[in-house]
Amino acid sequence: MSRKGPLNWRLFLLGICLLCLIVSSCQKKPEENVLVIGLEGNPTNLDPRLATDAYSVRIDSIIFNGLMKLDPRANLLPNLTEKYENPTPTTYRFYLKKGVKFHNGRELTAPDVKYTFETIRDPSFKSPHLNSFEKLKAIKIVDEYTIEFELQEPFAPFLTSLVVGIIPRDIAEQEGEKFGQHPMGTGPFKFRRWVPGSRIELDANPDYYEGLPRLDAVVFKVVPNDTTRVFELKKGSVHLLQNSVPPDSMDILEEDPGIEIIRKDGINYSYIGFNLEDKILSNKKVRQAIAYALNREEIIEYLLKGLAVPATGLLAPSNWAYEGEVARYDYRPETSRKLLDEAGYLDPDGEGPKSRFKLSYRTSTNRLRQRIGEVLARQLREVGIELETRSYEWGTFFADIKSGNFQLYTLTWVGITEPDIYYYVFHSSSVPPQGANRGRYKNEEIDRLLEEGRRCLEQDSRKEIYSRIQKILAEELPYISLWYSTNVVAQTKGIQGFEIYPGGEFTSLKEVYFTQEQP
Amino acid sequence: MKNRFAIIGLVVVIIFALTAIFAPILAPYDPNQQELREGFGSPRQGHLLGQDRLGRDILSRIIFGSRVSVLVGISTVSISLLLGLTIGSLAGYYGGAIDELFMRVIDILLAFPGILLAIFMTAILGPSLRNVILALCVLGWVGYARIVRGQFLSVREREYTLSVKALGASDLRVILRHIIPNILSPVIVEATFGMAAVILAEASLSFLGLGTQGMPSWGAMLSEGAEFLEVAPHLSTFPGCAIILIVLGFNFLGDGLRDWLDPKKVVVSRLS
Repeated sequence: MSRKGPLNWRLFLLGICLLCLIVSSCQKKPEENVLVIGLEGNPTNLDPRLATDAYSVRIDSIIFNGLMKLDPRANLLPNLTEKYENPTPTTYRFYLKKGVKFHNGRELTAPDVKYTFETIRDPSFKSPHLNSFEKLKAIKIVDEYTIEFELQEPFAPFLTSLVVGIIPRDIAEQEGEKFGQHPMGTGPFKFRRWVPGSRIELDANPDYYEGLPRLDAVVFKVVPNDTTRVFELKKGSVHLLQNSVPPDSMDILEEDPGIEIIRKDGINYSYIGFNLEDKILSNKKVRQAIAYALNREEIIEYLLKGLAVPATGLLAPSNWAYEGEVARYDYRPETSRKLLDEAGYLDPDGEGPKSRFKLSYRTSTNRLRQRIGEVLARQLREVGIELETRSYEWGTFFADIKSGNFQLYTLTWVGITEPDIYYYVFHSSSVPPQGANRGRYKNEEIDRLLEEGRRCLEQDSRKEIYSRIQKILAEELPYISLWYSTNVVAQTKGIQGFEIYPGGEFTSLKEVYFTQEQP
Repeated sequence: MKNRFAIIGLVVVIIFALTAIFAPILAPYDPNQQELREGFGSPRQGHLLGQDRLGRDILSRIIFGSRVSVLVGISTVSISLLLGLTIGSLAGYYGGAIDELFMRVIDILLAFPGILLAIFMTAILGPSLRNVILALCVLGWVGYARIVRGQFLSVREREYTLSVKALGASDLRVILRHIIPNILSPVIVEATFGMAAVILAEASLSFLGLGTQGMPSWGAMLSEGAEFLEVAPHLSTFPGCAIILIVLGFNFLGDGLRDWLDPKKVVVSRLS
């Protein structure tokens, strides 16, 4: 008996521990009037000057305001600016709105604006926006509410780069590098708490200059697993998912009476990139043959469940500079075989298993992308090209792409609104790390047009220049355009006012509210 | 009772081996043949175990997937066995500094969690069949080396070993002809369990996307299916059953072999 005593004690303690565990793992009921949004990945830095990942950029859109903003149709509008002038082609003058307050109650003035852009321009600060401001010569404070930017030469994309959020100088200087961990801006929501890898909580800003948001708070909950994320939405512990529902889960959500799905044509552009320094791929006929061999419609219909539209170029049809009259590559395997024969790559055994040549195709470990790779491999096999698909962990994959260590790869450009992106992607001087010309594309005419497009300030003439660029690129095929993904929002019924923005920004959250029917 | 399980195990293992060898004859379809519009097809006539996301036949993929498991199982176990046997023999026979050295190396290696080390290695070397085998061998030999050394320590002092030595036999002859044949039974048992463990480890690595690429593998199929558990549970159920079956098969067989090869048990049964 004497040995039994302590054992019972231990059992008792174990029981208590287990009970504590169970109690602590039970979830609290969600608070009322708080919107929970599921994210598939982790934001890394909420400092708008440094934010590079899509999650941080999107969350920043409701903590901060920039001098300019984009509306849901990607039109550029003034934001913190009452009005702006362009007295000479190289000078921009902004009159700031009065009475705009940071979350600590201090008013936003011209020195904050100057400080924000001065730090971005400082190369030691390593801001990803540095390139957009390389043509900036000086920033002048005219008075407390007026600020002037002077450029070295006319630079049309300049206004677009002013959507970066303005930060409070005093707080940013005091916090230093930690500013990105507890950011403070002028936006409709103010930062409350960040549990890294788990959630970010924001409260409504009662002093917001456009009025108090209708929600009390917003919580961003990180749920990396696709299945779990969909279950959380069904269960109600997450209210809204934006572009993070896997296509194969759409059916389940559509059948759910408590969930509403909103679709909108998107601008996120998926493509196949070629390495133009590769012996086989430097041949235009081979690239065109590959384009003709791909059956995009099949992939869109069966793998993407119709949630995409075939693409013709980097700019989506909703963009003001979009050019639709370009060379198109529909599924024509016969043309593809003919082009390959003409290029000198004959099929050694016709329909047989031997291939004309072998290519390696790289992708990330994203499941959907891997699956698309397997389908592409099958489609190319039908015209006699062997495609070896390899998936790599993101870091390795992206480093290889940047260093030119690939033949073919696939990626997606997200949130493109400014046609100057073409300079970053196809100008011969934009080879990484300067830009994103990863395929090492070189074309003097394109270089000249791209430079012209930057200097030209008149929108109609700019449109002509970019039309020409789009036509040449569709013919030359440094990229094969795959599709524009359709934007999909899956939300609990009873949420009103959420609008999809081109870059997936959460800007519309300040208008969002729950109607009475909310369970 | 035990014997019956061992026989079941043996039968499973034999069927598994034959499946791997005759995969191209047994499989009703090419394992990579896609039928996109039939994605998630349920089990039915023509596709007994259904079709996966890309409309590939699951039965054919399981049949071909057995080849990866067999290949990884056999090569990892044989390489590990060879290494373990050599190192264990040297350490056990000579003792002293060699023994000290090898045992400390083994202690260090045992301090790593096996599957984590394998994940680490395949992540660095890149996912491929060869690298999976390599990663599993790094720790695989340790168990064999320890068993062999232990056996050597006891056998090298036995009368028959001492007398062979006294007759002037070389070390190599003593080890190869007289000691190893007498210590093989525990090693064979260990190898049988080892097969099960290695197959499971390969499936885990493939599940994490660190396995072979371009060949159907059970672990990878399981992991792909897990994504669609709610829409199409058959995608992960069948490869999961295949893994359970083969691992159980090897474990039953190992258990049976242990009983059968156990010298003590033989004595007991003779006495009774």
